[in-house]
Amino acid sequence: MRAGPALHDTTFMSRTFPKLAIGLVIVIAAMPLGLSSDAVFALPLTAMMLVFVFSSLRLVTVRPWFVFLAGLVMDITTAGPFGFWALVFLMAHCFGRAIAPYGPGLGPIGLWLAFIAAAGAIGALGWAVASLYFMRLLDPYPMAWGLIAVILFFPFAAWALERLVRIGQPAGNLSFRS
Amino acid sequence: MRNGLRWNKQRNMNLAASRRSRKNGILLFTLFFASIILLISSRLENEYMQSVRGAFADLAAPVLEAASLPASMARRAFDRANAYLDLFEELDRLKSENQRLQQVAWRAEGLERRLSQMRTLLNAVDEPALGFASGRVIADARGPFARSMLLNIGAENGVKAGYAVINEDGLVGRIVNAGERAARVILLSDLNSRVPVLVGPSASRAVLVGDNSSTMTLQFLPADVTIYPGDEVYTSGHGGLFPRGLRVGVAIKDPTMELRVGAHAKLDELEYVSVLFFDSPILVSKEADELVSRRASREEAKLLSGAESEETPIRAASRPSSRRR
Repeated sequence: MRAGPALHDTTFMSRTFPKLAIGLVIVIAAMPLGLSSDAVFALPLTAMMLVFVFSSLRLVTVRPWFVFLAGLVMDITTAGPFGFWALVFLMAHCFGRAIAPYGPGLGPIGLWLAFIAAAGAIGALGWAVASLYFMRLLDPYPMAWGLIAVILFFPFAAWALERLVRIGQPAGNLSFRS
Repeated sequence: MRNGLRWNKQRNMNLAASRRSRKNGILLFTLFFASIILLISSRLENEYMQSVRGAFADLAAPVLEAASLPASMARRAFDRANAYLDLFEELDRLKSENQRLQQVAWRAEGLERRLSQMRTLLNAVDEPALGFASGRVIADARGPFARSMLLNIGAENGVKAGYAVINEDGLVGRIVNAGERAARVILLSDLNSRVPVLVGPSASRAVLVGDNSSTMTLQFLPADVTIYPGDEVYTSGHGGLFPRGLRVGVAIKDPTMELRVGAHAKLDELEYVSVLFFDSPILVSKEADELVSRRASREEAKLLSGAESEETPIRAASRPSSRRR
């Protein structure tokens, strides 16, 4: 995660790869993997993490309408409340864009802390919206376990994704938005 | 002069950036608003939403079916590897289970003989056999707020909303949405699942309620009934949604000593399931009543017009042609 001149070349890895990666995680989340009841949040929240990472990277173009559509597809495949994951992904997109200008200055630890704060806020809001939707206080543990899993996974994922989207870019290109 | 040009260029760039950011802001606000509207419509169970879900399930079925194959193969390989590791323990368990089952089979034969004698004495009518169709789980929609799954069979196989879904271990759930080639099953553990059941040897009535965890709770149990861990839970058939006597699970005590029900079917590891073509007797009789009243009004109209009445047989709701149990 390095700073540098504000150059931006559109390549397959910066334009199409993020969409494919988010789409792939959505398909995997729908697969009959036999995950336990406590682990069901992990995969949808991984897609949320990808949205956050790609929205904060300068080289990547992730449009809000794509984020919204990805959320709707996740809603349909997970048979949840229609619009819930769209809302969560949009929140992750907004947080990602909000921290993007500070990306190069934050460094890996700062970025991780920013994600922890964002994920905590998104998780709390998501749990509140879901509880309001079902008109009862839902068990917060599955959501909490899912958030812990993606928070622990975040540094590796962010590092790997940042390197992947830089493939084909001139050497001095920035990874974060300027 | 040069400085002025540079300043103008910078100003234009700033203006364009602020215009773009305003546009983005409006778009984001619209999408947030749309998400909230969709959530409210979904909560109100809008019919259009249901049809969109059904249509999407049909569209996505081939993709999900193809994608689920490697996952189920990997899971089977993992299960097999685990089974090899526990081979000797499993052998001992099976030996003792076999001994127990031989005793049960001997007792069951005797009971069957007695039951058949009783039925002859009472002149009881046999219940009709249930038709069924079997399918594979192609998508695991056990999302955070729903415990459901998608099957690769749908309306063209005779599947309808409301039908019970079982596997070799017992009841799994029921169909909530049937597209042409795919159907969605709501599992027993889903937050919205309610199944009328009978509990224990006293056959006490209760309602089995899911709460998105791996076990279920019992509600509306009579106050004077005592349930012990190990008591069997099976469908009561009340309400006419499920046939009576389907195995559901067994009463257990969770770590907080609260009484819960563990399903016999492993709801996290379903691969092949069967859909029972059990039409609610209430619905069937309603359809038959409608047919009778329609026929009566038609005959009345024909009598009035002097025409001869035409005999048409009255049929109850027809069952789809499929294998019979």
